[in-house]
Amino acid sequence: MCGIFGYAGEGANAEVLIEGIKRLEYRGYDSWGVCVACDDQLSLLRRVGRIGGVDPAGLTLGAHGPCASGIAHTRWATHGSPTEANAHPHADCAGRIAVIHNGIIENHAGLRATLQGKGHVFASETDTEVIPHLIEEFLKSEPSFAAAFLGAMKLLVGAYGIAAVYAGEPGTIFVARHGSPIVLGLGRNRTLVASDPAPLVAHTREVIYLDDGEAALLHGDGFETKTLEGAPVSKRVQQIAFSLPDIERGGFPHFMLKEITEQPESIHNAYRGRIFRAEGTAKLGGVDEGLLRRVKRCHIVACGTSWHAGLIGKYLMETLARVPTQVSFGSEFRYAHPVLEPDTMVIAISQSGETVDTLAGVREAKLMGADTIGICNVVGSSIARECGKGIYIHAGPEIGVASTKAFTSQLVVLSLLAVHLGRMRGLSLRAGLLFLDALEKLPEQAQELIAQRERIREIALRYSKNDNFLYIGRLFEYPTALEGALKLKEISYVHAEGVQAAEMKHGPIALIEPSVPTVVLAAQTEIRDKMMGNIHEIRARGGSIIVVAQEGDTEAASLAEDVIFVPKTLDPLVPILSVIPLQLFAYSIAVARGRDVDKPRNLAKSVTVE
Amino acid sequence: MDVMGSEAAPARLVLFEDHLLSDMNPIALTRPAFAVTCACATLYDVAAEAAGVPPAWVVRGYLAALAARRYPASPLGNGPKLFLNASIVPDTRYAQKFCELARSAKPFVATAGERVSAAFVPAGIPVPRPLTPENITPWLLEAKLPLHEEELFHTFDHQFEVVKFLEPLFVTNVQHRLRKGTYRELKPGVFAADSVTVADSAAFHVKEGPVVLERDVEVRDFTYFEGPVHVGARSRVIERASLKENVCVGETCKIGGEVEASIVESYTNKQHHGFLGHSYVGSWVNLGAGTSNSDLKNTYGEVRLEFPHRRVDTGMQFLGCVIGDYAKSAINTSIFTGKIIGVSSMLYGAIGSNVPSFCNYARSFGQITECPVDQAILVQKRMFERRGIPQTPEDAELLRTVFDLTRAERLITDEPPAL
Repeated sequence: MCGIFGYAGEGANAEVLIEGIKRLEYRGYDSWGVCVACDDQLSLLRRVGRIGGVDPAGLTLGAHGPCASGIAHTRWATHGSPTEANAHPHADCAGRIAVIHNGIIENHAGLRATLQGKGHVFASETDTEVIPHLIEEFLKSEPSFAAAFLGAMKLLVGAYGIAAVYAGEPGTIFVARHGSPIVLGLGRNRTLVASDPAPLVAHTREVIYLDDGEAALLHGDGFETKTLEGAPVSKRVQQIAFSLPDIERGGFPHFMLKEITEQPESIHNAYRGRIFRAEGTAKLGGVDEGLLRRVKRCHIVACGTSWHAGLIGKYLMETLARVPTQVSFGSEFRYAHPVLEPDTMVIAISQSGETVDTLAGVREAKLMGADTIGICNVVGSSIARECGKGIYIHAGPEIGVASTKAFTSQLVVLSLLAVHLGRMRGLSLRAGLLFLDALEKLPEQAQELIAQRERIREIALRYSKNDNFLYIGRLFEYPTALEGALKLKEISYVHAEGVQAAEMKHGPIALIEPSVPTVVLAAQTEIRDKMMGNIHEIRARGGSIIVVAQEGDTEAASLAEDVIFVPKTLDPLVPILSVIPLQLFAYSIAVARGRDVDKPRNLAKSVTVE
Repeated sequence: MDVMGSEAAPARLVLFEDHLLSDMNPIALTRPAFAVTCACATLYDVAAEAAGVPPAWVVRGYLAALAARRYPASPLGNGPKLFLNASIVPDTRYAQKFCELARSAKPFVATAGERVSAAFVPAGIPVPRPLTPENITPWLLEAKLPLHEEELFHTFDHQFEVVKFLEPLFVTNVQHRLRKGTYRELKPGVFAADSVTVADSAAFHVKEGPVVLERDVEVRDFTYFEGPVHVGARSRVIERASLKENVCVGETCKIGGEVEASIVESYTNKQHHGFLGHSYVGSWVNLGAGTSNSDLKNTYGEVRLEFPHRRVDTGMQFLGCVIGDYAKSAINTSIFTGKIIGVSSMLYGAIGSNVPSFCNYARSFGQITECPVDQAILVQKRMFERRGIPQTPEDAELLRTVFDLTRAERLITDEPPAL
């Protein structure tokens, strides 16, 4: 997720652009850049690091004459580490087209190869850089820049919110949207564009939201909206009513809730461009194929929520790929003298990429001669650099301390890795296709669960005064139970314990009483009947049950006080859906108890101490 | 008239080769995959019968000209299409299934192992132009058609499977042929088309299946048939020949000696004594007198095929050899169990390993050399002339192309053998 901002018209200068992207910094903050279009020239500036403290007055943009328009960008790296060369805006060969982009261009590799074949020279590792070069190529044969711009947009596959400026038409910003948000701001003698209304509020309250497949030309004195085919589109002007903090949280009361509701998009981003249906497998550019062929076993190292993802990862690797997999806490692995046999791949999972115990585990594994890969959210983080190879989860910034969308994105990435390893090891084409089909349905199914938010809140309120909870599950839902319990603990300060369902009878069942509700995870197909047995055990002892069951499981619903249905999917993918109601459940109880959901006591977002 | 999908736009049947044909070599080197005979049928025959018109097809570029000459094709068209993998085994029962799938008009993609076996693509989904064996599977899978819950059709994934499927399909296919064609029953279980001559001394045993003789077949004295057997048009069964249990002989062949559970494609000669069992023999092959193959290991174990970097377990106790088109064997050639003989190779003596295409294999005499392609083209011309068939530039070009394609199989000198 990145932030884009553009300003056309009276008052366009570097200062107003930088102020604009400061408002978008929460969307991404590893690097930033600005470009102004002044009198047939573009002036461009890019820097690594946060924009927060930058004083625009101290910058030299080499402007020539009054500026007619400008664009600015704050980056959350996906392709290419946070460097000046990889920061936006990106330019074409002639330096007369500058582009900023939020999203991922899935077919960038093919486009880059084609453009290089035509003589274009690239300066960065990013997917975005193909865009100005592609426009430059179209400009050779199209009658206008607008036609070249639209022609280029139609070749892009993926998600994008794009703003471009052209030295030959300095008074116009060219904008297009497909899959990433774009909002236009309409001011007096100025027109603006941004990824969300946050930077627009200082200039106007009148906005237009572009829809997918739409483009716009912004001038100082007005704008045109079109389809990508160039047909005019009439858009409704809306009013922004909320405050700036509200805008940064997208209108949500807490970042955590915003991030929970972003999961349909973040799940999609985690597999975007990585599904290779032609061979029923996944494409993982950041991991060496030779290593994956050689691997005989895996050892996952992680902490906290990432450790729960690792436990599910173990089941994924063993179910789909038949690769023996072990999971360790980072803090244990670094001190426990682990035995790593030859051809073991150590997988480090960490949202921030800075978790010190996991990082230490990676270093320990490398000293022992193991190959390491990282599954991280932050591009260029310490764990990512230490591993040298891995898979980024592309979840966008996660501000809430309690991890939500990073967890589901980690599971998506682990699923891709497992199906890729599986297809190398005898998993059939058919099984691979079925798995990928199910994966691609998840965003829509996740959206169905988020639509139940209010109902889940009502259920949660009935239990908001309980002080102890049990969460039980088996197989893929056992780590999900652990994660659900952790979420409740983290943000509501209520004691909750995750237990493997069959282990209940070996001790924890003694805790069952009416005041200790049990959240039963029973959405898998294979193990469902066993979970029904667990439900009967709890009922027999007077326990109250909230069951998370597969859609249509009326029997489970009849045995529980409350039921939350999740859409049907393959058992290995159930956790990605089942965890969403657990996140909402924990959130609702925390809010009911008046907790600081985004900054719970005693916790930090990234644990950089032992 | 196209009989399928007559309610709306008819669904065109399209036979397509995919990118996974190398394990069908040498059979698929010189013919489209849909033209491989098994149990007296080819997939082309089955599809054409199902559709009532020739199917469209997509083949490797170098085969297109020859395929167009021998296998008429309907155009792809713009309407809905039922794509069928050209490697689907030619089970005549599939014809009805093809019709059902085409009429149902329900989009789907079905797999068989690592392949797409079939797919229904409705009108409106853009088709890559040109459609090629390299791009068709990725296109069908990327189109995100619903995955069919069944693996609908078996496919030939390896060359030896042509022999493997012979027995399971033979009776069904030959009875289908009897239902569709016009034959007179010479004796119980012995059926003949027009102008068939059968010597009085020929013996027929039909307990396990019928014997079917196509037009202009000549059966000479003291021949022995144990059904099911099918003999193609204009072929000659030489005196004292013995054809037993699932033998399928192509058109214009001469067959002598002992043949059991084997397929012989058209224009091939095995005129003299010698055993051919559980084998596939391509077209324009000549097996010299006394050529025999083994189809059973001394250990009675399962036959395993040995290739340079892998072994393939066939799951078969009886497997003879697979001989590519244009190959020739000298007198008394002995071919060991489970051997693959390439296109246009010349065999001498004992054949104890696979033989690459265009190879003079005389290891028994201490020599293995490459057979120059010009010589192979000359031999082709001579053999064609004996049948009154003119050699065309496409025929010669086919051999040149296959010679180039198979270079890597041969790591030997090109000295001619000295005998």
